Amino acid sequence: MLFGRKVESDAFETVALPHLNDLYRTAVHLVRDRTEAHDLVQEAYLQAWKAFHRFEPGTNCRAWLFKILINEVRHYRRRWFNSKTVAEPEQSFEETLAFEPPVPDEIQDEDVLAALNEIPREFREVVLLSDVQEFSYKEIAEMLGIPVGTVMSRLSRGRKQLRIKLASYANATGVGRTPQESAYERR
Amino acid sequence: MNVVNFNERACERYRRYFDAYLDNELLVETNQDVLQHLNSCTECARILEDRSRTKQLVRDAVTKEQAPPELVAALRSRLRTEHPSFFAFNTVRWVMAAAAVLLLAIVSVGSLQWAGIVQFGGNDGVFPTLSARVQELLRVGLIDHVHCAILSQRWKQFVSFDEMKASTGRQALGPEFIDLVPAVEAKLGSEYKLVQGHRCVANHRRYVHLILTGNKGAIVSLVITEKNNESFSESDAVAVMRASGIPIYRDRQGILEIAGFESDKYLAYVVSNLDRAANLNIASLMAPVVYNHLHKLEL
Repeated sequence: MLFGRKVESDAFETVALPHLNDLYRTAVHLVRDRTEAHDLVQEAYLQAWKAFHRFEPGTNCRAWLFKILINEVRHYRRRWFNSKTVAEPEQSFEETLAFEPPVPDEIQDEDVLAALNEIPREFREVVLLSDVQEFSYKEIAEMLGIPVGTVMSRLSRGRKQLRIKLASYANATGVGRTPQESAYERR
Repeated sequence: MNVVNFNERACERYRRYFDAYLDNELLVETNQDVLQHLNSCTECARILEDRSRTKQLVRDAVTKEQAPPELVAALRSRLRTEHPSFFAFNTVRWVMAAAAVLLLAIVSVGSLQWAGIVQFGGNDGVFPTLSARVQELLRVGLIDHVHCAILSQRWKQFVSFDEMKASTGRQALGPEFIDLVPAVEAKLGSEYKLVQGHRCVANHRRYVHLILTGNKGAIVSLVITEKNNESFSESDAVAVMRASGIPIYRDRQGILEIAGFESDKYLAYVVSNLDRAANLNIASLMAPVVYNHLHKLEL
């Protein structure tokens, strides 16, 4: 080859590396393990680099990288957990309730992350892609290979479970209760 | 996104659409229905506010996580050692055969597009291909390379610099462009041989065309044409790289790589059967020289 790979790798780094933080933080919460996330993101980038000749400039590089990452995470799960098919998690009792408990303002980031990590993986996946990464339903559907309707129902259920967990944390720690409520419980 | 017909004004019905409302995934009509209800229902407004805040809480908590610096370092180091699997090099015979098919496809699809029969390169998908407008702009250079350098086999017809300089016909580069020949030769060095430079017409458009050949059957065209109310910068194209500040755009059609850039009044292209990196390299070497030359003509 007349010229080296310098230009190609510069181009790749220019378009792909700015999304590193987004991919890493998504991977951390998808696998709930920083070391695994570190390796998975590295692997996803290498896959993207090898396939970079197929990437069309001007198209959505971020969505392309996320799709690669999600495939890597799936391979990882198959390797370690042998989980091939995914059944939709059953509806919990709390989910069926129409009442929506208020989520207090004073909740800490650690509580939010703990609640997020406790909801089923299928829900966590869409919550991360929608709420944090702000992909559209259509983009998420294409990334995950599921219908848009499934994205919507997983997102709705995931968010509801999250709100229930956050409200229960708040109740457990006394965060967000009115002085009257706290006084009542002290009696 | 579906239009929702709210017949019953029960809160529960509206709340089912709150998630899509927050994500801006409802149609305008449905959005307005939800808004109207929110104006008249304080409990639903409270619930929506809560959902919106939860979304923000999740985003804020997750985005505090940063990739460790050692990940960036490890990644850069591995990218330097791993090889991208570029398209294998092609023989001249294959280029010829493929070019014929390609030209047929370009002209056919171009005619269909012109007639409004087909549209391609739309932005409907998650991973859209280059927009039709950008593809069309890049194809302007591709057409001349395929038509003139490949199918007319001009890449085989060596013309010396003195002959090009002495030429006065319609195909002569003329005083405006003759100086590009030594400038381009100097930039590319001995690995590429400038076969000829001329003016030509393809698909009803006039071009200035320099043809070069390299090792292993590489055929490279530098193609320049006047703009006709066209511009990469006014399209939705994203430059793949910059050479001395000049944005370069690219596309691939079959086995041919196209890199395009522009000055105020001209579009310029480097088209070849090289791989993406090599073609972009040539484009990045040529772009400053060609741009400066065109800029002088525009003054």
